[in-house]
Amino acid sequence: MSKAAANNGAGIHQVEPRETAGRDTIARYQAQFRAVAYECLSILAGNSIDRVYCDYHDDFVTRSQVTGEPIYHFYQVKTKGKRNHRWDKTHVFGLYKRKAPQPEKIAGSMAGKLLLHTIRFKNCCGSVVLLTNVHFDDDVENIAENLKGADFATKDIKDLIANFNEALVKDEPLDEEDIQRLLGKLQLVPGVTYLDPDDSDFHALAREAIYTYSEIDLQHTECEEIIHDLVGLVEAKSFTKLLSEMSEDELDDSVGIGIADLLKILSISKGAYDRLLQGGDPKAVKNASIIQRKLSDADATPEMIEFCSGAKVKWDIWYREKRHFLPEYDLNLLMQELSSINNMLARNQISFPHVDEQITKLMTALKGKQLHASLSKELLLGGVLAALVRGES
Amino acid sequence: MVLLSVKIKPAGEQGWQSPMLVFGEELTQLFGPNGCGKTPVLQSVAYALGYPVTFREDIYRHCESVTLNLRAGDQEFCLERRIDRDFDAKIILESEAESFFDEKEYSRALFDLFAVECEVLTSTQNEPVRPYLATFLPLFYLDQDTAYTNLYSPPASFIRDQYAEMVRLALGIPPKHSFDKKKIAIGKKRQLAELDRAVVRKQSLLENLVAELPSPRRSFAELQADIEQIKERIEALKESESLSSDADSAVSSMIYDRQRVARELTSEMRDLRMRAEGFITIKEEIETEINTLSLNESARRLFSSFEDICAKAECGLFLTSAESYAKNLLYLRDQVKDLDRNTQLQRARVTELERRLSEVKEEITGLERKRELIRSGEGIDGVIETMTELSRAMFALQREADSVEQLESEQRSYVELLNERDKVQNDLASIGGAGGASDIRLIELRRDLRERILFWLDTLHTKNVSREVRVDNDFGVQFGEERIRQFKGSTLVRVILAIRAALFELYTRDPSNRFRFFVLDTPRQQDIEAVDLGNFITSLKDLAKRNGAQVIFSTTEYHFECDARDREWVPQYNGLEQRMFLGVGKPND
Repeated sequence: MSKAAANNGAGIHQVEPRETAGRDTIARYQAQFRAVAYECLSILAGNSIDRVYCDYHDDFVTRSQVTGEPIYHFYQVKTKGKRNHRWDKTHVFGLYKRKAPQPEKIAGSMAGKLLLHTIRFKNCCGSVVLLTNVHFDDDVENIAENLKGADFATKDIKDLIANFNEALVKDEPLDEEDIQRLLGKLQLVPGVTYLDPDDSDFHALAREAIYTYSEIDLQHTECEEIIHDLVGLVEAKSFTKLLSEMSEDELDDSVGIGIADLLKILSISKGAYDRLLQGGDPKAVKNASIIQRKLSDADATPEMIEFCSGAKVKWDIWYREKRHFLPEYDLNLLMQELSSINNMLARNQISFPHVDEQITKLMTALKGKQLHASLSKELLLGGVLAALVRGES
Repeated sequence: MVLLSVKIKPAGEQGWQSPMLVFGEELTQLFGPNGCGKTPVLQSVAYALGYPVTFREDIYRHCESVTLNLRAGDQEFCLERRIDRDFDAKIILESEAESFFDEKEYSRALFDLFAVECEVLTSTQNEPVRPYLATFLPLFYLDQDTAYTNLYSPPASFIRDQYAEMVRLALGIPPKHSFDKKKIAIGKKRQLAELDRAVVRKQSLLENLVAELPSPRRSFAELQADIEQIKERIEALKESESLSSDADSAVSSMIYDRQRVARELTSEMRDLRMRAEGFITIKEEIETEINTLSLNESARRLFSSFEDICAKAECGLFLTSAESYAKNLLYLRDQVKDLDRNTQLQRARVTELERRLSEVKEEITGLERKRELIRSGEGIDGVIETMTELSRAMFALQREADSVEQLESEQRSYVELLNERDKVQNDLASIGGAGGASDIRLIELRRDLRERILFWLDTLHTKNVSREVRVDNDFGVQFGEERIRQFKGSTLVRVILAIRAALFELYTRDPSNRFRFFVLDTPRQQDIEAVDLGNFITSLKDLAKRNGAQVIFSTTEYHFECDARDREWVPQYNGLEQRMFLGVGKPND
């Protein structure tokens, strides 16, 4: 018997809650985050989409650069728990089945709110999209079909055009041709399964993308972690407080997700990603280590590559063992020295043969420290290479 | 090019002449008071090399021509130029003279002679133009006045970026504004493609050669020593009187040799196996670390889902962890890749070693059987067998030695190919980029130049000048925030001398560069203390010795103590007030 029952009261689990709308809301939010995350992954493909904005102007906005001018696409996400629900034209367009259309109803509908973007952003607005996990009824389907086919002669569309100015643009009425052009930007996408509250499709789709853009073989759980990180990133960006005055860059940074943000949470280095984009062999990227790829790009002989990767292996082993025994301060200092040598190399201040000089210098500087006893020049070279790999990834 | 001697010939019987003035191998010092004619002598050296010089009127009146004897490579020749306002010069080689009547042709002929490859440059009028000696020589000849106040003071400036182009020409970097850039670029690209193919061919050739060689690899010298040893044994066996015991010992020592090889192979295999095993343990450790990382990540997510940890939604407590999870994973897995590859290579090597070991063991068994035969008294057969065995071993070694020798020579030519490709790549980068910033040679030269300038600044004891020297792509030099034209007086002279000396040092560093002389006409003694000038000349002497160059300078007060490799020229004619460098007839001694 539960404690609550013993006290002659009802336990929290026994009483029906008044409402669980809050839970539903959270699930909806998550669906939205997933939709954004999914769009973000399309940035990776290196096509036109280069940035996704979370919860800004609409549920999310994607930016594509085709001719150098940014074009924005606005997305509204509508989910319904009941799978067999069908949105009708009252919900979507604010049109009645029998009554005459009312402009304020149209303005407040899903499509009406989306169409506002087409007016406010003029040519910068590429499309306005309604995403939903459920479906539309026949009337809505017909309207969508006709809009797609640029057939503006049906009654519903005529009604929309007739009430467009009064519903959405009161100040500067548009002529019919303009309205038709704007209506053409509206897209309705039903049956998006990854929006379902507890759905595994999203994970399957995302795993695919994450696996493709990874330079190591990821295991299932590791993929999942990265997906979580991705959704987490979207969530973090959606929660950012907006300041009243932000420059474009600040905005991009605080609510936008670009390729740099994505590469940060994926297990791929910039170099490997570029190589994949340019149609490089994904197998080669997955099999060869960063050092191997870097050195063979620089025409190093197989012996040299083996020696260098061997040196790095030795360093990794040394570090793995010594990090527990040696004073952290000394170790950090050493790591800093090594990465500064690597930086010099990367900035072209020294060439590869000069690394040896720098290492000898470092070796003499370390004399008398506890570190010195177990280190050798080969190990330090390995350390520089390790810094190079860290810098790459 | 080595300057041998110079002589000024008189115009008519009452004309002025100089004796045959022989240059020192390293230093040549013209020592004499003001107005004794040092400058015309030095001017005449540059004049003979085609440099446009304006002499004083009495020189035009009294002197006929100047003759400069030179040696380039192993050829000695003579440049003769009339002291006249019209151009008239001759190049005399093995008593065959070629005459020139304009500066352009003469410049081209001399550049050809000294193997300076001049490409067509762009003039300030956007016309094609070739470098002249008049534009090139100012790098090596410091005229008395302007040269000490300007970094580069040519008699005429008509080439775009003339100073940068001349320095590039001297240091062997392709021109900045080549007139036929495109044509050259196409040629270079073709050359690069060919070199690329050659490099790849060479690489695969090398790989094949290496694969053919038995492991462990021995050097050519080692193999030679082994061959000699076997030869000696064969000789010993031939001359031997007690055949069977010598044959026995020969076989025994062969067995011993083989056993040594077997031992080496075994120990190498043991090492490799141990390392491979070590790798497996480390791989396991890395896997554990990866698991820990994933667990840590899950834990982080769980914690962050409790609002109690931090109610602020964007507090960022775990943010770094989320960002570095995938990267840590990447780094760890990257280690595994290296490990895997090295293990694989080692395994292949172990298989190869095993094969070798079993071969060697078979050989040992065969040899032991032969020794048994010899010992059991089947004398002469055994000896013959031993001889065959020894010669077989020798041939095998000889073959190996041949392939090692081939490998070594191929490796050398491979390196040469790579160097050549680097050069062509740099050339292309130099032609392509606007500033040529991508030419690695240029970057290195700028760095070296900077370093040498610092050295010469210190040698000249230059005060008040920032040591933060920057050399730009056009070889312009800046000191901290200051440019050269902001300096005045003695500081300016020191700075200019430092830069010029540094440039000359870089130029002469490459033994294939031909203009190996540095002419300084009276380095302003009023501006530089004798001690500093002394240091400067001593360092120049060092440089001349080290790089095989000649330094010629004139002085009135400062006097350098010459050694056997230097020459000192003093005025030898009696003049009205003082002794003179030029005079009538034979010098009065």
